[in-house]
Amino acid sequence: MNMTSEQLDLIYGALADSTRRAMLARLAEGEASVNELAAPFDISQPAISRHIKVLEQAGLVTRSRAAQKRPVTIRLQPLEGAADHLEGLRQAYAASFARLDALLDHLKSMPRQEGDNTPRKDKS
Amino acid sequence: MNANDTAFEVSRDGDRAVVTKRTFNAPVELLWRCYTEPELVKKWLLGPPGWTMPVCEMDVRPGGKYRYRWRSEENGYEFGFLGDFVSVDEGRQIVSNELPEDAPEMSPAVNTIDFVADGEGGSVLVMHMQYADAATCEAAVATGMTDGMGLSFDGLEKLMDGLK
Repeated sequence: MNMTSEQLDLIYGALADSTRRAMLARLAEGEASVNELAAPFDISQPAISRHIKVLEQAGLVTRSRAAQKRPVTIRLQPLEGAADHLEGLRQAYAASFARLDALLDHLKSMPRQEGDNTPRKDKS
Repeated sequence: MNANDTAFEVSRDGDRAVVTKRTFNAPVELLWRCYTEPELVKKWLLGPPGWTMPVCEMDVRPGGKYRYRWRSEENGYEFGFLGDFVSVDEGRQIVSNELPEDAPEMSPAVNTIDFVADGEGGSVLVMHMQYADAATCEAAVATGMTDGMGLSFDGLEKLMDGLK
């Protein structure tokens, strides 16, 4: 699944907040009304509505227009799309591990210092 | 070492864990030192180019605490992780809790790192990162992804501020 950079920004922005993640965790158990979603949080109704709107814009939830209480439902497809980008995580680690290769090569060529595990070289 | 790079795997374990597996051309004892001696950790655990690790404190024993902090020399952006070591099996395995320093209200991730000799003088490092729920796992992958794509963190910060 290919997602645009803009879609991914919205998804990751939505997921970068602990209240919204908690809302998604609740919705993973089944649809909920806005009041039910707000119940665990000590924040204002407008703030709750803003959080839901952010999730909605990211495509992570939908709100039914049929029922009067307009329940909120989770949508899993965008998360699956984001999952394709595990490759990026791989690249971030690859950079560190390439450096570790060089450090290990260097240490292999160096005799171990007796009684001092930590070379005292302040580089700051 | 490009040959080593191809022996690097990143995969999912269910919907709330990520596993990485990497082979190194060095004995397990050296790999262990590079993971447990702060002066060595600071030399390599830096992610993409342009980042430094101004804070690397670790008390490697069961119940001991650690604190890592990184800094982008390009734009001054900083972030960090802290937690404690749950168990330490010298030369074999480290289990630790991990929390973002700037969001300590989150549920901690549990990282299990295995150091395995490959029998030919090399070693395999297996990292298992387990998050509290699927959404937290996605957020963690997203952050790593941002690093990998070389996007600047302050751009992401601004985006998030705009969505608050």
